[in-house]
Amino acid sequence: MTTTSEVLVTVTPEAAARVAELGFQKEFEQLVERARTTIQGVRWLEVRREPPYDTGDEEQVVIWIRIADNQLLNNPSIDTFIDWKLETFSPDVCWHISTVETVAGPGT
Amino acid sequence: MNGRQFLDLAREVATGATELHWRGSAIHTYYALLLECRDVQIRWGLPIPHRHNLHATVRLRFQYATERTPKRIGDFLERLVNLRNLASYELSTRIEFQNSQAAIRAIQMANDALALLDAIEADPARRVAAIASIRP
Repeated sequence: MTTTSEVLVTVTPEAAARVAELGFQKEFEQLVERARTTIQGVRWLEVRREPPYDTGDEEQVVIWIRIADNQLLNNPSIDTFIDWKLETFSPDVCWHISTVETVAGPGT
Repeated sequence: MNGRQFLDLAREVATGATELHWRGSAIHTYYALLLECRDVQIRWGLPIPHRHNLHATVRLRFQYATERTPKRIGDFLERLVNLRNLASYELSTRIEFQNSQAAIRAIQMANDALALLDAIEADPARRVAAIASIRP
């Protein structure tokens, strides 16, 4: 089992700059810490600034929550995290900083 | 037909054995939920979203709702649109499409979101509350 101290968090410079522009540093850090320490099976977090393509007007900061492939489905800790996120943060924060649980990759 | 029928196609395509299938499945899953959300918002009397910003408008209405369940649905849309954008536009090798797991998880999320939407629609009091909680 991966301990929380072993969960790597990578943040691109562009994503860090966008968080700073938005003034959401504290909220961002809370989201990362909560995802890192409470979601079962999390292996690493990858934070990137993503373009909206045809689905919006603004770039988003996306926290890709990389979860072991065999723990991605039917994982109640993900729902618990989402409930906490929606209760804790304003719609503005949730609109600009997205969290997406997804695979960590083969062999994880 | 209705939007959620694309979820049947997503399930079928997810059983394929290539990256192409798993990307395609994620795309269909997103559209299944987007279109159901769009149509329910129209049934609720909200203005038809302009085609230039349909994706963002449908999502934003739910994410900025003051009721918990529409917010939750908006969050599902948010997660699915990010995966769909990778599937459609980021064509370099991606971890997400090296196996079917992300596509299957996306289908699970869409199912959960549709269950929430159906629960609102089935309960007149919840429907009224949900509509009142959304800014057009």
